[in-house]
Amino acid sequence: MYRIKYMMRNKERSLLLAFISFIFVSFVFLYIDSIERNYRALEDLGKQMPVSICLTDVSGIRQQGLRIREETVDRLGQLDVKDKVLTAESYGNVSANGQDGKKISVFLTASNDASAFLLEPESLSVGMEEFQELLSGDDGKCLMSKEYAKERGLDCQKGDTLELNLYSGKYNEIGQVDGFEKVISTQIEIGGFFQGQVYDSIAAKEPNVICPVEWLRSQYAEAGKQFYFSSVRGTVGNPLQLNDWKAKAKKLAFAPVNSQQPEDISRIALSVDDRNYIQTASKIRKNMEILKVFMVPVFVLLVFLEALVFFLSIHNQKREMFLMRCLGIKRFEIILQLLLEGSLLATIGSVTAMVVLLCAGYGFPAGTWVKVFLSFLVVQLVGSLFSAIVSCGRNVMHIGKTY
Amino acid sequence: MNRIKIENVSYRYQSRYQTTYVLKEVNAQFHSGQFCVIEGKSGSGKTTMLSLLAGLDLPSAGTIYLDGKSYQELDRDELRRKHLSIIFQNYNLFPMLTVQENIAYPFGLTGQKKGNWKERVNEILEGVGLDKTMLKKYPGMLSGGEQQRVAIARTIASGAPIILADEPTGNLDTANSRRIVENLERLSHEDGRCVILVTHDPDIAQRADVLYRMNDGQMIEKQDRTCGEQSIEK
Repeated sequence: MYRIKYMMRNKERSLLLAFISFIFVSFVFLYIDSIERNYRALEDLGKQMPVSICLTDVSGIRQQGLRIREETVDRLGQLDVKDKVLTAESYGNVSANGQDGKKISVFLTASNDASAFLLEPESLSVGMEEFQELLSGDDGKCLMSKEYAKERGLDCQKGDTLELNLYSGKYNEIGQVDGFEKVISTQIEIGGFFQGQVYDSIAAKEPNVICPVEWLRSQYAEAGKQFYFSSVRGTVGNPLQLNDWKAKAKKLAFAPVNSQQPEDISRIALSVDDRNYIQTASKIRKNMEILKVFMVPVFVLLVFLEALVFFLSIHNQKREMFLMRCLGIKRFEIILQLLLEGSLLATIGSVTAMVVLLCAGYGFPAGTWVKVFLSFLVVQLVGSLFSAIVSCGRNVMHIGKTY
Repeated sequence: MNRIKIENVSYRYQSRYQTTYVLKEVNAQFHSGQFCVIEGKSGSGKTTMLSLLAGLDLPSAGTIYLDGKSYQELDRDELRRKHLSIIFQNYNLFPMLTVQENIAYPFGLTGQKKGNWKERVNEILEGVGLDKTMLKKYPGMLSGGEQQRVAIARTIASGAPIILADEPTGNLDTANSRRIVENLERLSHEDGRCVILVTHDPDIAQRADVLYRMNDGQMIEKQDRTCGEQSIEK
């Protein structure tokens, strides 16, 4: 009862101790929070500033119109790559059903993703979602250039089936098409039209027909012909582990980009564009490192200060402690009372700090709250215990003379 | 009744370079109902003697007995709680408790805080010459004499049969000193308690039933005025 009255009546001291606990716990949480914020910023950076990768020729100049073998793309599949966009190119001639003999040449670009094309929604006769659905599937459906069909007198409607003779390009030594080789005769349904200036963001040549890459691949497979992708790009799945990612890529034997090499569309290298990411991430990492380097000394200093405050607070009560000893209260009872008092004040201060931080919108996992609170309480208890034992160990008769 | 007996008690401090004897083979006896005074100059070992009597420390040699039982055998915290009460030169009241709470403090320790404890506090307060208006005051609001009387009131409340007073008038003026000594005399003569007072004041020493004189850690003289005996111990 005396200790409770002492706490209630000695308001300045009690408030000071609770306030110190408040400051200590708030500081620890804010420190942890700033580290976590930096970490989150680093994670978000991967989303806002993705590390893009693409397959290029060994010179690093060409990113499109390449001859990328399926095995190379499969090898890339072993790496954590997301938002993978594949394109392939092919040649052919088409005729609409019932219009025998009237065939027109077409250039086909196949992809698995609408983002491969710089298409505005108004330039499509179908919605963007339908277009994406068409590309991500493997149905024999395509989008036809409306102007091209009209210009070449191809009378066709949505839902019509085109007779298609597929050809692959023969490339010469300098990577230019030098003749064609027939792949297969097949059919493809017109799923819609596109019009206006349609630029393929990857292929240099403007397509007349856009179709799903998986469908095109299956046609080559059916004919037993070698299929090539013309471009592959994507983003690194987890940019936080970029170095590991690169190490793994190196193990998968992707040739490094070498600008001294001549252009060669058949020799494929892996190019990672991480300059912006690394620049920004380095700054964040530097912040984190500074915070982490100072974390231990700052915490040790705080712990020392906190223990010192509780030590001095108890040391200042020597008179009361001596008096209690003279009145026959056992030493351990006095120590227990002091520890309980200190713990109560520390709890009030730290819980207040937690509530204030929660109200201010700082969210931490329950484990972090508990860990910080308990470690703080242990520090406070050790400081108080040490002080209580030292102060209780004195010869109490000196109280009458010294104090 | 022979309450406290000190037999060949010595006390020494052992430092790295030398051994300092504070008490050397001291013998004394203190009885119930007696107002006993230990007189001596500063540094003569009086306070150390009182510390040993209070069981706050144990002698380096010799034995102290309470009712025939040596201190080594007793629970010395229990001893201070039930058998002894100490009054200090600097009063040593709890600063954050009121006069009423300070006086009632021993009730809680000895399990007496039941029923009409407030009335008992009033009676004790009046008994030491203080009025009820003091009850709600804090020690810091009282004069030195008043604080010392509150300390005596606390001692009375403890019900301890032995009272140890360490220079209780050391910080007080003559009038207050006289009042304090009268209070302590009354506790021994009327209540039958054994009061052991340590002082360097010859005027207080003159009022003792039994007077011990100390010098350099030795008991140099004993005057038992109850039976007119006078002896020099060493």
